[in-house]
Amino acid sequence: MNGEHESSRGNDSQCITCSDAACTMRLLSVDETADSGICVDEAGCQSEVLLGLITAPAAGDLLLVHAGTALQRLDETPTESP
Amino acid sequence: MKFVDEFRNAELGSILSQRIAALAEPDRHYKIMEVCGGHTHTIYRYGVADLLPSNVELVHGPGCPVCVIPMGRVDDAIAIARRPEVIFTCFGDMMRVPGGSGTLLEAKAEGADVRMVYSPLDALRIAGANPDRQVVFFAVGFETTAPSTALTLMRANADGVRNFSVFCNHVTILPPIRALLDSPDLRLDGFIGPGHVCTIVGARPFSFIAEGYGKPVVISGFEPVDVLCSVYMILKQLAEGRSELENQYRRVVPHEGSAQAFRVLGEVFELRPHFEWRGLGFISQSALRLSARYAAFDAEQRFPIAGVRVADPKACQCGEVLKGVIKPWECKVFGTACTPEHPIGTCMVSSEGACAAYYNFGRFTRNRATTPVAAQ
Repeated sequence: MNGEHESSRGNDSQCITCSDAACTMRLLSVDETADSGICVDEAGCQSEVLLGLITAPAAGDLLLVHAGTALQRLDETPTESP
Repeated sequence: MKFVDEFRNAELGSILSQRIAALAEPDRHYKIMEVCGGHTHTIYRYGVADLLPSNVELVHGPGCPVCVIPMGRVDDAIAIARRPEVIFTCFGDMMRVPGGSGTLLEAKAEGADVRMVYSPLDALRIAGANPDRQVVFFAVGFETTAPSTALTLMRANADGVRNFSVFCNHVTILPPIRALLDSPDLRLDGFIGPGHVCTIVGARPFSFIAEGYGKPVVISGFEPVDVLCSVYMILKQLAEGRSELENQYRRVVPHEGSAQAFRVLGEVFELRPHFEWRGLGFISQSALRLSARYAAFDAEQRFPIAGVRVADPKACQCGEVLKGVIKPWECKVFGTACTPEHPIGTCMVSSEGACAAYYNFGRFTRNRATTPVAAQ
């Protein structure tokens, strides 16, 4: 499945039922006809992600992804510290 | 990693721990509920509870979607899965949830075609690869997950897929919180709000907790510094006599919800009049079913569903755990008859379940020192 593995899809220490778990992924390309795109996680694994909740998604966006769907585009501007 | 390393910073955690200790009044006992199972997991995985004074207690709420599915619905899922024409797909944890007649994993061992997926889209792909079979997706999850099911169904509809359906068990988080607030069993001082649910519904719907019930609520991220920061913000409100909605997770959560998400949810789903929650009973308008427009994809209409209510095992106290009335280790079967390998109750199945989280990360610290963390 497009090289997906545990890093982006949960592991023993994380719930894979994903009530509220999400991971950050970088959007590589957009398929506007399918309303989806190919994303890559920190480990370099790629998967198709649905983009129907994101306004004007573009390659390079950092997305919060949950259960194969992008929930939010993350603002990478360093405006907040913990 | 951006948005991770800075929120797992030990020095920041230590500073917050000291500030929390300084804020907590020594003769007052604070009970703060984290609604979401993701927070429960963080609290045990990173030992957050051990960084708090002994009089600041974190109570686990009903925010794990696996844990709140009643046994009767699991039995209905197994009945669908046993049909010879069906490929039954579900998230991994759901395979181990016991119903009255076993688990989906046991049904698989007995010959049912049950397959684990990571998303509804995975299930739709299986349908595309098996046009002569009926593929059913066991949809569970809160508002965070429901849009994924909705978008997948919209794609299935657009592509004219006819061998795909959804057994819908999506639930909504606000009604059970209201039920807990109305419960005489429980006295709570504040709430840690579910961050990723709020990426969909926004922070604003949680304001009723502060405005209607006078309890501070802080929408929180999922790293340990996020949770500590949220506890600090709640204690600060209490110290200053405030009860407000605050958003600690501003890097992700907007005040208003996602218009796109509301649009797709409104197209695909409608509210059920009532739905049974494990441990909480029937709660009005607390779950979703497919709308009439998507009835052709509704597994409850495609297959006969018994819909029989099944009582929880007598020994199991998941209900009390889900309401925060008892701690996981206070259950009679915790860690003995009920373990992650052989769960009796749902809270021991999912790693977001309070019992599993406690068993995996915290069971040996139940008698931790009661000495408060030194204040600065």
